[in-house]
Amino acid sequence: MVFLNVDGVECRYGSVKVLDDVSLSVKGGDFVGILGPNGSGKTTLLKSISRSLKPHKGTILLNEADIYSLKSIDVAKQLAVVPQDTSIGFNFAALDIVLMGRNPHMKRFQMESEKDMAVARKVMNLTNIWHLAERPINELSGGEKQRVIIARALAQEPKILLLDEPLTHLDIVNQLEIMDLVKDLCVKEKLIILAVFHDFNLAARYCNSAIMLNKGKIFSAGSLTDVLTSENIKSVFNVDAIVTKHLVTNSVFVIPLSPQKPSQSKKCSIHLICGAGTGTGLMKILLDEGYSVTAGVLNVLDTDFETAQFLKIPVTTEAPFSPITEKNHKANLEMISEASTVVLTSVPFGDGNLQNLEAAIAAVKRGIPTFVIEEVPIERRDFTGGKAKALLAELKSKGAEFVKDQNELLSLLKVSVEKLNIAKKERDRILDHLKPEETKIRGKGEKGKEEKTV
Amino acid sequence: MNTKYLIATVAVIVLIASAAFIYIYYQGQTPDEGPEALQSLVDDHGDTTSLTAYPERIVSLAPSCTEILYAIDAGDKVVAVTDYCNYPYNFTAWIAGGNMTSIGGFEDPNMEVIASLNPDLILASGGVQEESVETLRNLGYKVLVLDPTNITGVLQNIELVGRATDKNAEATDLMNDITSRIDAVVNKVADVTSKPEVYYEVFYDPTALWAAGSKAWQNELIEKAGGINVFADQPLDYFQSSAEAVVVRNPDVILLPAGGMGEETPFWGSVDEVKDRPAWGSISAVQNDRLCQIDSDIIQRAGPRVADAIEQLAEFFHPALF
Amino acid sequence: MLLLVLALIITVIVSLNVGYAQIPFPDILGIIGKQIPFLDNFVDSSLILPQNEAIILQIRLPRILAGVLVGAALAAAGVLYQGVFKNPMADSYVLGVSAGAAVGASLSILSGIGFVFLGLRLVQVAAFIGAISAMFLVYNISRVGSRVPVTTLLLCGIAVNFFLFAIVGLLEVIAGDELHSIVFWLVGGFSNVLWRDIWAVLPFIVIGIVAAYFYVRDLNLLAMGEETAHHLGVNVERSKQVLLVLASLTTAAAVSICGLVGFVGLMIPHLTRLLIGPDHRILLPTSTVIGAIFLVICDDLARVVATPFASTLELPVGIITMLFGAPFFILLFKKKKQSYAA
Repeated sequence: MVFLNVDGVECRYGSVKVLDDVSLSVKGGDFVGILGPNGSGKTTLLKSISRSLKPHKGTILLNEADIYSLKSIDVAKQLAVVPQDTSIGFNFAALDIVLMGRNPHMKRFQMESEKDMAVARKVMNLTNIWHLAERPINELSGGEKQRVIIARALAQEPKILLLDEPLTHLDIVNQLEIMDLVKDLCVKEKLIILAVFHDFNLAARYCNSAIMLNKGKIFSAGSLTDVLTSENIKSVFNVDAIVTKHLVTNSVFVIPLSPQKPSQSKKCSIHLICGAGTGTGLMKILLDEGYSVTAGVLNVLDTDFETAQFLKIPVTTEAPFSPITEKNHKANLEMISEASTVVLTSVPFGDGNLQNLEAAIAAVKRGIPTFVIEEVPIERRDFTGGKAKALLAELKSKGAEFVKDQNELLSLLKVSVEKLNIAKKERDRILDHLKPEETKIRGKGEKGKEEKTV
Repeated sequence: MNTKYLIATVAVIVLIASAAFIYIYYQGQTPDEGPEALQSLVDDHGDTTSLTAYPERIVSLAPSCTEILYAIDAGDKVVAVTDYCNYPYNFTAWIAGGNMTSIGGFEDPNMEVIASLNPDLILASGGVQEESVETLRNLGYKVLVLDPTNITGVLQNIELVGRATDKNAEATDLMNDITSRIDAVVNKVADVTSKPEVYYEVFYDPTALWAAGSKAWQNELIEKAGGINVFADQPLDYFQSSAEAVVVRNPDVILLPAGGMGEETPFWGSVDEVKDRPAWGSISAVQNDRLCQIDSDIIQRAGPRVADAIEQLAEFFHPALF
Repeated sequence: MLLLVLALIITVIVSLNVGYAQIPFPDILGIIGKQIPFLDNFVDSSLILPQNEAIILQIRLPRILAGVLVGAALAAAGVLYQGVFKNPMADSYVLGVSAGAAVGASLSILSGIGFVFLGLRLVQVAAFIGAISAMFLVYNISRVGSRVPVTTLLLCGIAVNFFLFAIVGLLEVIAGDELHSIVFWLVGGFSNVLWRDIWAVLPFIVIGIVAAYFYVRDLNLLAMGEETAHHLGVNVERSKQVLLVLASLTTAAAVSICGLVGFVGLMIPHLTRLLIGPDHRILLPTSTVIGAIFLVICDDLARVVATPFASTLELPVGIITMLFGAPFFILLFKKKKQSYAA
C-alpha cells in the first residue's frame, strides 16, 4: 500500500505565498478531488508533490521517505503526472511518446524491451489510442493528444497519479471512459489519484474524498460529501448552488445558480401556491426580480419545498402523503393575507392538495390580485375527478388572471405591482386625512402595507 | 494658392543656386599663386593637389611614404609618422622620447592628432587608407596618395614627393641610384639560362596558405632579380592557394618574409618547421636547402628600398653571380 | 544509416581525387592500399611517384579526415545544443563557445609564443581552453540556484558571445603584423592540418559523440519540456550539464583545428530533422555522418570551384558552407514544409 503525506507545506512564488500550511494524508485506493477557485493553489499543490516547486516549509513524504530527497528516477517509478498543458513541440509518433513513460524503468544504456512494448500497448489499448500508434502527435486532435499523455503517465506504472484538469479537451464519451479507467485502476491497483477538477459533478462522481482550497489554504478536507456542500461552495466560490444526491448515479451532484443579480427589492410579497416542482424555477426568478416570496401548502417531501428551504422562503408545510389539515390551511390563508399577490402554478391536483385551490379562491374573494399559470391544461392534471377543474373555473369567474407562461406572468406582475403601489399611495394619502379610528377598520392586510411610501 | 506656389519655386531655385555657387566657388578656388612646381600635383589615384608653398609640416601615414621623405632628405619637415615606421630611424624610440608624434596605426590614423599638428602636406598610401584620405581632404588638408603598382610607380612617387618638397635634386639622385642598381642586377641575370622558380610565401597556418600571383608587388621584384614567380600564371594579387600546388610546382627557392614590424616569431615558425611541412620534403627548395629569409619590410614596402630587395633576391637566386 | 556511412566512405575516396595535383586515380588507390597491412601485397608501388604519395598521405588525406571530424563534431554539437535549448537557433555561437575559442586563439597569436604542447600548437590549445572557459562562464552566469533556465542560458550566451567578439575586435586593432594571422584563423579552414592535429582532437571528438549517444533518450525527453522530463525521471540539471559539456568539448576540439567554420552546427541538425524526424536516437548519428559528408564535399568544392578563374586558387571553406549550404537547406525546407515547431 502506498502512502503520501503532505505536512504543513508552504509554497511561494517569490514572496507571494501560494500554499499556506497545507496538509493531507492519502493512501492507495484514495481518489481525491482537488477543488477550488482559480488561483487557490490547486496546480501548485500538485507541483509541490510532483517536485516541480519545492515548498518553502513543510515536508512531503512518499512512503515515509522525503520525496525531495529521492532520485528523480525513483520517484518517477511511483508517481506520474498528467499536466494541464499538453502541447508538444517536436513531432514524435504517439507510440514513441507513450514509450517515454517507460523511461524510469529503463537503464541508461538499455533499449526498450519487450516488456516495455507490452506495457505501452496495454495502456494504449486502455485509452483507446493503439490505432494511433504511428501517427505524429501534432496531427492528432486535442482529445487524442490528451489520451496519449494519459497513456504515457500510465505507462510509468505509477502508484500515484496526479491529474491536473485532465479532461479539458475531451468529449463527453472520452471523459467518462478515462475517468472510469482511472477509477478502475484506483480501486483495483490501489493507486492514489489526486485530480484537480473544475467540474464538481465529475469530481463528485468519481472521488471518494476531496480537498477544497481557498487562497492557498485548505478550506475543507475529508470525504467528498463532507466537502462538497452548498455552504462550502458559497463560502469559497461565492456562488449559490444546490447540492443533492442523484438517485441514479448515487453520487452527489451540484447545480450552481447564477450569482444573485442585485436587483432592487420591489417591496412586494408574492405567495406562491405550487408543488411537484412547478414552483422551483419561479421561486428563484421572483426572488431575483426583487419580490419577497412565501409559499404553501407544500408537503415536506415535495421538491418545491426543498427549493424553498434552500432559498429561505417561508413555507406552510404539511406532512408527506397527507391531505392538507385544517390547521395548515388556516396558516396558509394567513400567509396569503400577508402577501400582496398570489400566484398559482400548474400544479397537479389530487384530493390531498385540493385545499390549495380553495385558498386561491379565498385570496381572490379578498381582493388580492391572483394569477394562475396555465402551462399545462387542467384536464391533464386533475386527479380529483373534476373537482379541481370546477374550482379553477370558479377562480376564473371570480377575477383571477390566467396567464399562459412565466414570462407573461412576470410582465403582468410588474403592471399589477405598479398599480398596487399607486393605489397604495393614494390610500395612504387619503388615510392621512382620516381620523386614526377609521384606519383601524381597514383589514390587517393593509396595515401590513402601511410602511412609509417613498 | 498660385502665389504660394510661386514663392516656393523661387525659394527652391535660390537654394539650389546658392548651393551650386558655394560648391563651384570652393572647387575652383585658386589659391594665391605659389611656385609653379606646386601646382597640379597628380597622385597615383589621379587626384590633383596644389600647394601654395613648400610644406613645412608633413605627416606620413605609411612607412613607405616615410622612407621616401627621409631618403630625399625631407625628413626635417616630418612632424608625424605611424607606429609602424621604423626606417631609416628608430621612430618608436623618438615617439617615446617625445621627439616625434605618432598618428597611430595604418588602418585608422588618428584624425584629431593629425588636426592638432596642422600639417600642410599629408602623404598616404592606397587601399585601406582611402577612407581616411577622403576624410582628410574634406577637412581641407592636402593629401598625396602614393599607391604604386610597380617599380616605375615608386620612381614616380619619389619624383612627385621631390617636387612637392623642393628636393628635386635629391629625388633625381635617388631615382637614378635605384634605377642603376636595378639595371645592374637585371643585366647580370639577363643571360642566365636557368632561372630559379621562386615561391614567395604570403601567409601559412593550418587553416590556409596564401601566395602571390602575377599582380602582386613581389612578382616584379622576383622577375627583376632573375627569378620566376612559381605562381606567375595566376592573374591574381594575393590569393588563397593550396600546399599541393606548391609541391607540384616544385619551386627551387622559397622566400620567407621575416622580422617585420616588431614580430617576434614569423608566421612560418622556423625554417625547420617549413621543411617539415607535410609533403614539402619533395620540394627542390627544401631538398637543396634554399629557404631564404628576407626582411619583410623591404620586400613588402613599395618604397625606396626596392633596390635593396632586388639585390638581396638576386643574391638568393644566383649566388654564383652575386 | 549504413547507407550513409557507405556514402561517407565513398565521399572520402572520391575527395582524394580532388586537388591541384593531377594524380591518377588508380595510383591513389594504390597509395592507400599500401597503408593497409593486408592489401599492400597487391600494390605495385614502382609506378607511384613519391611526391604524389606524399601529397595524398600528408596533405589530402589529413585534410579530408579533418573535414570528416570537424563536420561530424560540429553537427553533433549542434544536435545537442538544439536539444538542450529546444531552440532551432542554438549552436556553438550561442553559448559563446566559438567566441571563447576566438579570444583564446587571438591572444595566443598576439603573444607570439610558438611553443608546442602535446603535439598541438599554442593556438589550438588556447582556442580549446577559450571555448571551454566561455561555456563555464556562461553557464555560471545564468545559474539560478541549482537550475539553469534555458532562456537565461540563451540570453547570457548571446551576450557573452557579443562581448567576447568585441574583445577579439579589440585584439585585432592592437595587433600589428599578427593581424593577418588572427583574421585568417577567424575565417576558418583546415587546408594544412597535420596528422598530429588529427590524433590530438580525435579522442575528444569521438568520446564526445559516443558519450552523447548515451544521453539520446534524455534529449528526447527534454524535448517534451523540462518539467515533463523531470516527471519522467530525468535528472534535468545533470543531463543538461553533461550534454552542454559534451557539446562544447566537441566544438572546442573541432574549432581548435579549423578556426571558425560556420553553418554546419546550425543547419545540419535541421536538415537531418527534416529528413528523418526528431527522434534523437536516429538524429544524432545521422546528423553526425551527414555533417561529415557535407563538410568534406564543401572542402572539395573549395578546392575546385575557383579553378576556372585561376588554376591554383582556393576559396575558404566557410564561404562554401554558407554559399551552397543555405540555398540547399531552403530548398529542402520548402519541399517538406512540415509544421516545424520547436
